[in-house]
Amino acid sequence: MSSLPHYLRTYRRRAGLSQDDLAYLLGSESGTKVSRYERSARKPTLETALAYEAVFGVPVRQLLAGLYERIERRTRRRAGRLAGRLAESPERRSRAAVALLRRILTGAAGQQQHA
Amino acid sequence: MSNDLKRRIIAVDPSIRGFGFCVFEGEELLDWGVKHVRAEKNGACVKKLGELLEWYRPRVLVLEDSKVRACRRGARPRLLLQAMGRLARRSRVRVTRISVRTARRRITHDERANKYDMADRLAAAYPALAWSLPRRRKCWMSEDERMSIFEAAGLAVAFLIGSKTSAGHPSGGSVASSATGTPRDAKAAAA
Repeated sequence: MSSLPHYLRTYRRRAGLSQDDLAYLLGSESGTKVSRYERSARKPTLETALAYEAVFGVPVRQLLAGLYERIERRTRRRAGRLAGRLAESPERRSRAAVALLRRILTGAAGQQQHA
Repeated sequence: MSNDLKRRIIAVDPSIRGFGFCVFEGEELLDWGVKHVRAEKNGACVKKLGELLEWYRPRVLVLEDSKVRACRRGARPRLLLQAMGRLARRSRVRVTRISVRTARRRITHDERANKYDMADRLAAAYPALAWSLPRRRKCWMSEDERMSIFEAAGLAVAFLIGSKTSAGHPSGGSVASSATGTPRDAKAAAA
Protein backbone atom coordinates (compact mmCIF):
# COMPACT_ATOMS: atom_id res chain seq x y z
CA MET A 1 0.00 0.00 0.00
CA SER A 2 1.48 3.37 -0.95
CA SER A 3 1.54 6.10 1.69
CA LEU A 4 -0.40 9.30 1.47
CA PRO A 5 1.57 12.29 0.14
CA HIS A 6 1.83 13.51 3.70
CA TYR A 7 0.35 13.01 7.16
CA LEU A 8 0.51 16.61 8.33
CA ARG A 9 -3.20 16.91 9.04
CA THR A 10 -3.25 13.58 10.83
CA TYR A 11 -0.55 14.53 13.30
CA ARG A 12 -2.01 17.99 13.85
CA ARG A 13 -5.46 16.64 14.62
CA ARG A 14 -4.13 13.91 16.86
CA ALA A 15 -2.28 16.58 18.82
CA GLY A 16 -5.48 18.58 19.22
CA LEU A 17 -3.98 21.67 17.56
CA SER A 18 -5.91 24.08 15.38
CA GLN A 19 -4.34 25.31 12.15
CA ASP A 20 -3.72 28.67 13.80
CA ASP A 21 -2.04 27.01 16.80
CA LEU A 22 0.26 25.06 14.56
CA ALA A 23 0.97 28.08 12.38
CA TYR A 24 2.20 29.93 15.44
CA LEU A 25 4.50 27.05 16.38
CA LEU A 26 5.86 26.95 12.83
CA GLY A 27 6.52 30.69 12.89
CA SER A 28 3.70 31.71 10.56
CA GLU A 29 1.19 34.42 11.20
CA SER A 30 -1.96 32.58 10.24
CA GLY A 31 -3.29 29.11 9.69
CA THR A 32 -3.67 29.74 5.95
CA LYS A 33 -0.24 28.34 5.21
CA VAL A 34 -0.95 25.26 7.29
CA SER A 35 -4.17 24.78 5.36
CA ARG A 36 -2.24 24.98 2.07
CA TYR A 37 0.28 22.39 3.24
CA GLU A 38 -2.50 20.04 4.33
CA ARG A 39 -4.33 20.42 1.03
CA SER A 40 -1.05 19.88 -0.81
CA ALA A 41 -1.58 23.27 -2.46
CA ARG A 42 1.95 24.11 -1.41
CA LYS A 43 4.97 22.11 -0.26
CA PRO A 44 6.55 23.16 3.03
CA THR A 45 10.03 24.61 2.87
CA LEU A 46 12.90 22.69 4.39
CA GLU A 47 12.77 24.98 7.42
CA THR A 48 9.05 24.44 7.84
CA ALA A 49 9.42 20.67 7.42
CA LEU A 50 12.06 20.63 10.15
CA ALA A 51 9.79 22.74 12.33
CA TYR A 52 7.06 20.15 11.84
CA GLU A 53 9.50 17.49 13.00
CA ALA A 54 10.38 19.60 16.04
CA VAL A 55 6.69 20.07 16.90
CA PHE A 56 5.52 16.49 16.54
CA GLY A 57 8.74 14.60 17.26
CA VAL A 58 8.22 12.60 14.06
CA PRO A 59 10.87 12.42 11.32
CA VAL A 60 10.19 14.42 8.17
CA ARG A 61 10.34 11.25 6.09
CA GLN A 62 7.38 9.96 8.08
CA LEU A 63 5.44 13.22 7.97
CA LEU A 64 5.92 13.50 4.21
CA ALA A 65 5.88 9.76 3.62
CA GLY A 66 4.48 9.74 0.11
CA LEU A 67 6.88 12.41 -1.07
CA TYR A 68 9.78 10.57 0.56
CA GLU A 69 8.83 7.29 -1.14
CA ARG A 70 8.75 8.97 -4.53
CA ILE A 71 12.17 10.56 -4.01
CA GLU A 72 13.59 7.32 -2.66
CA ARG A 73 12.45 5.42 -5.76
CA ARG A 74 14.07 7.94 -8.08
CA THR A 75 17.27 7.95 -6.03
CA ARG A 76 17.46 4.17 -6.17
CA ARG A 77 17.13 4.19 -9.93
CA ARG A 78 19.96 6.68 -10.22
CA ALA A 79 22.00 4.74 -7.66
CA GLY A 80 21.67 1.63 -9.79
CA ARG A 81 22.95 3.44 -12.87
CA LEU A 82 25.83 5.07 -10.99
CA ALA A 83 26.80 1.79 -9.32
CA GLY A 84 27.13 0.22 -12.73
CA ARG A 85 29.45 3.00 -13.93
CA LEU A 86 31.63 3.06 -10.82
CA ALA A 87 31.94 -0.71 -10.48
CA GLU A 88 34.26 -0.69 -13.45
CA SER A 89 36.46 2.07 -12.05
CA PRO A 90 39.71 1.06 -10.29
CA GLU A 91 39.82 4.15 -8.03
CA ARG A 92 39.71 3.53 -4.28
CA ARG A 93 37.11 6.22 -3.67
CA SER A 94 34.91 4.48 -6.21
CA ARG A 95 34.89 1.32 -4.09
CA ALA A 96 33.58 3.27 -1.09
CA ALA A 97 30.98 4.93 -3.30
CA VAL A 98 29.88 1.58 -4.71
CA ALA A 99 29.44 0.27 -1.16
CA LEU A 100 27.20 3.24 -0.38
CA LEU A 101 25.23 2.78 -3.56
CA ARG A 102 24.69 -0.87 -2.75
CA ARG A 103 23.28 0.19 0.63
CA ILE A 104 20.92 2.62 -1.12
CA LEU A 105 19.78 -0.13 -3.45
CA THR A 106 19.11 -2.54 -0.61
CA GLY A 107 17.35 0.17 1.40
CA ALA A 108 19.88 0.14 4.22
CA ALA A 109 21.29 3.61 3.63
CA GLY A 110 19.20 5.15 6.36
CA GLN A 111 20.65 2.78 8.94
CA GLN A 112 24.21 3.95 8.45
CA GLN A 113 25.42 5.99 11.42
CA HIS A 114 27.32 9.21 11.02
CA ALA A 115 31.06 8.85 11.69
CA MET B 1 -2.66 -10.82 9.26
CA SER B 2 -5.27 -9.93 6.68
CA ASN B 3 -4.06 -7.46 4.07
CA ASP B 4 -7.09 -5.33 4.85
CA LEU B 5 -5.63 -4.53 8.26
CA LYS B 6 -2.70 -2.67 6.69
CA ARG B 7 -4.78 -0.73 4.21
CA ARG B 8 -6.71 2.47 4.31
CA ILE B 9 -10.40 2.27 4.95
CA ILE B 10 -13.03 4.96 5.05
CA ALA B 11 -16.29 4.60 6.93
CA VAL B 12 -19.17 6.97 6.40
CA ASP B 13 -22.38 7.64 8.30
CA PRO B 14 -25.07 9.84 6.68
CA SER B 15 -26.59 12.46 8.91
CA ILE B 16 -29.15 15.21 8.57
CA ARG B 17 -26.74 17.85 7.30
CA GLY B 18 -24.26 15.67 5.45
CA PHE B 19 -22.23 12.78 6.76
CA GLY B 20 -19.66 11.84 9.34
CA PHE B 21 -16.54 9.99 8.26
CA CYS B 22 -13.48 8.27 9.67
CA VAL B 23 -10.33 7.19 7.89
CA PHE B 24 -8.11 4.42 9.22
CA GLU B 25 -4.78 3.14 7.99
CA GLY B 26 -4.46 -0.27 9.52
CA GLU B 27 -5.59 0.39 13.07
CA GLU B 28 -4.29 3.95 13.09
CA LEU B 29 -6.88 6.72 12.99
CA LEU B 30 -5.89 9.10 10.20
CA ASP B 31 -8.73 11.55 9.89
CA TRP B 32 -12.28 12.14 11.01
CA GLY B 33 -14.93 14.79 10.75
CA VAL B 34 -18.29 15.89 9.47
CA LYS B 35 -18.97 17.05 5.94
CA HIS B 36 -21.78 19.57 5.62
CA VAL B 37 -24.00 19.98 2.59
CA ARG B 38 -26.94 22.24 1.86
CA ALA B 39 -29.10 21.84 -1.21
CA GLU B 40 -29.48 18.60 -3.12
CA LYS B 41 -28.11 16.68 -0.18
CA ASN B 42 -27.52 13.27 -1.70
CA GLY B 43 -25.75 14.57 -4.77
CA ALA B 44 -23.59 16.91 -2.73
CA CYS B 45 -22.73 14.14 -0.26
CA VAL B 46 -21.69 11.81 -3.06
CA LYS B 47 -19.51 14.56 -4.49
CA LYS B 48 -17.82 15.14 -1.12
CA LEU B 49 -17.31 11.44 -0.68
CA GLY B 50 -15.68 11.39 -4.10
CA GLU B 51 -13.20 14.00 -2.91
CA LEU B 52 -12.35 11.88 0.12
CA LEU B 53 -11.90 8.78 -2.02
CA GLU B 54 -9.63 10.69 -4.37
CA TRP B 55 -7.45 12.04 -1.58
CA TYR B 56 -7.20 8.99 0.63
CA ARG B 57 -7.36 6.26 -2.06
CA PRO B 58 -8.80 3.73 0.36
CA ARG B 59 -9.10 0.04 -0.34
CA VAL B 60 -12.40 -0.33 1.44
CA LEU B 61 -15.45 1.84 2.03
CA VAL B 62 -17.50 0.74 5.02
CA LEU B 63 -21.17 1.67 5.07
CA GLU B 64 -24.15 0.81 7.18
CA ASP B 65 -26.12 -2.17 5.98
CA SER B 66 -29.52 -0.57 5.39
CA LYS B 67 -31.14 -3.77 4.16
CA VAL B 68 -31.36 -5.44 7.57
CA ARG B 69 -34.78 -5.37 9.18
CA ALA B 70 -33.53 -3.46 12.24
CA CYS B 71 -32.29 -0.56 10.12
CA ARG B 72 -34.23 2.59 10.96
CA ARG B 73 -32.99 4.80 8.17
CA GLY B 74 -35.39 6.87 6.17
CA ALA B 75 -35.71 6.78 2.39
CA ARG B 76 -33.19 9.52 1.63
CA PRO B 77 -30.30 8.07 3.66
CA ARG B 78 -30.95 4.64 2.19
CA LEU B 79 -30.71 6.05 -1.32
CA LEU B 80 -27.59 7.93 -0.30
CA LEU B 81 -25.93 4.76 1.00
CA GLN B 82 -26.68 3.03 -2.29
CA ALA B 83 -25.31 5.98 -4.26
CA MET B 84 -22.15 5.99 -2.15
CA GLY B 85 -21.70 2.29 -2.79
CA ARG B 86 -22.03 2.84 -6.54
CA LEU B 87 -19.49 5.64 -6.47
CA ALA B 88 -17.03 3.51 -4.55
CA ARG B 89 -17.37 0.60 -6.98
CA ARG B 90 -16.81 2.96 -9.94
CA SER B 91 -13.66 4.14 -8.13
CA ARG B 92 -12.55 0.50 -7.68
CA VAL B 93 -12.98 0.69 -3.93
CA ARG B 94 -14.35 -2.38 -2.24
CA VAL B 95 -17.62 -1.77 -0.37
CA THR B 96 -18.42 -3.53 2.88
CA ARG B 97 -21.73 -3.10 4.68
CA ILE B 98 -22.11 -3.70 8.38
CA SER B 99 -25.27 -3.34 10.42
CA VAL B 100 -25.30 -0.94 13.32
CA ARG B 101 -26.19 -3.74 15.71
CA THR B 102 -23.18 -5.78 14.59
CA ALA B 103 -20.90 -2.80 15.02
CA ARG B 104 -22.08 -2.08 18.55
CA ARG B 105 -21.85 -5.73 19.53
CA ARG B 106 -18.32 -6.12 18.22
CA ILE B 107 -17.09 -3.02 19.97
CA THR B 108 -18.88 -3.20 23.31
CA HIS B 109 -19.46 -7.01 23.52
CA ASP B 110 -22.91 -6.11 24.84
CA GLU B 111 -26.11 -6.83 22.93
CA ARG B 112 -27.92 -4.06 24.80
CA ALA B 113 -25.32 -1.36 24.13
CA ASN B 114 -26.54 1.83 22.48
CA LYS B 115 -24.70 4.32 20.30
CA TYR B 116 -23.50 6.32 23.29
CA ASP B 117 -21.96 3.24 24.93
CA MET B 118 -20.17 2.51 21.68
CA ALA B 119 -19.04 6.12 21.37
CA ASP B 120 -17.64 5.99 24.90
CA ARG B 121 -15.60 2.90 24.08
CA LEU B 122 -14.31 4.44 20.88
CA ALA B 123 -13.37 7.70 22.57
CA ALA B 124 -11.47 5.73 25.20
CA ALA B 125 -9.63 3.69 22.55
CA TYR B 126 -8.84 6.76 20.40
CA PRO B 127 -8.20 9.75 22.67
CA ALA B 128 -8.14 12.14 19.73
CA LEU B 129 -11.82 11.36 19.22
CA ALA B 130 -12.62 12.12 22.83
CA TRP B 131 -12.51 15.85 22.13
CA SER B 132 -15.37 15.40 19.66
CA LEU B 133 -17.50 13.29 21.99
CA PRO B 134 -20.76 15.14 22.65
CA ARG B 135 -22.81 14.84 25.80
CA ARG B 136 -25.43 12.14 25.92
CA ARG B 137 -28.59 13.45 24.34
CA LYS B 138 -31.63 14.14 26.47
CA CYS B 139 -35.03 13.46 24.97
CA TRP B 140 -35.69 17.15 24.30
CA MET B 141 -32.38 17.71 22.54
CA SER B 142 -31.53 17.28 18.89
CA GLU B 143 -28.87 14.79 17.93
CA ASP B 144 -25.43 16.35 17.95
CA GLU B 145 -23.96 16.06 14.46
CA ARG B 146 -20.68 14.83 15.94
CA MET B 147 -22.34 11.53 16.78
CA SER B 148 -22.10 10.65 13.10
CA ILE B 149 -18.30 10.64 13.53
CA PHE B 150 -18.63 7.95 16.15
CA GLU B 151 -21.14 5.99 14.11
CA ALA B 152 -18.64 6.03 11.25
CA ALA B 153 -15.79 5.11 13.59
CA GLY B 154 -17.89 2.27 14.92
CA LEU B 155 -18.39 0.85 11.44
CA ALA B 156 -14.68 1.14 10.68
CA VAL B 157 -13.55 -0.47 13.91
CA ALA B 158 -16.16 -3.20 13.58
CA PHE B 159 -14.77 -3.94 10.12
CA LEU B 160 -11.23 -4.12 11.49
CA ILE B 161 -12.31 -6.42 14.29
CA GLY B 162 -14.17 -8.61 11.84
CA SER B 163 -11.12 -8.77 9.55
CA LYS B 164 -8.90 -9.75 12.46
CA THR B 165 -11.30 -12.45 13.57
CA SER B 166 -11.59 -13.93 10.11
CA ALA B 167 -7.79 -13.91 9.82
CA GLY B 168 -7.53 -16.09 12.89
CA HIS B 169 -6.82 -13.48 15.53
CA PRO B 170 -8.76 -13.35 18.81
CA SER B 171 -12.02 -11.46 18.50
CA GLY B 172 -12.05 -7.98 19.91
CA GLY B 173 -8.41 -7.45 19.16
CA SER B 174 -6.50 -4.49 20.41
CA VAL B 175 -8.72 -1.86 18.88
CA ALA B 176 -11.66 -1.73 21.19
CA SER B 177 -10.11 -3.58 24.09
CA SER B 178 -7.35 -1.02 24.48
CA ALA B 179 -9.79 1.35 26.17
CA THR B 180 -8.42 2.48 29.48
CA GLY B 181 -10.38 4.86 31.58
CA THR B 182 -13.47 6.66 30.39
CA PRO B 183 -13.81 9.39 27.82
CA ARG B 184 -14.40 11.80 30.64
CA ASP B 185 -10.91 10.96 31.94
CA ALA B 186 -9.47 11.51 28.46
CA LYS B 187 -11.26 14.85 28.20
CA ALA B 188 -10.10 15.92 31.65
CA ALA B 189 -6.53 14.91 30.87
CA ALA B 190 -6.63 16.85 27.63
CA ALA B 191 -7.94 20.01 29.36
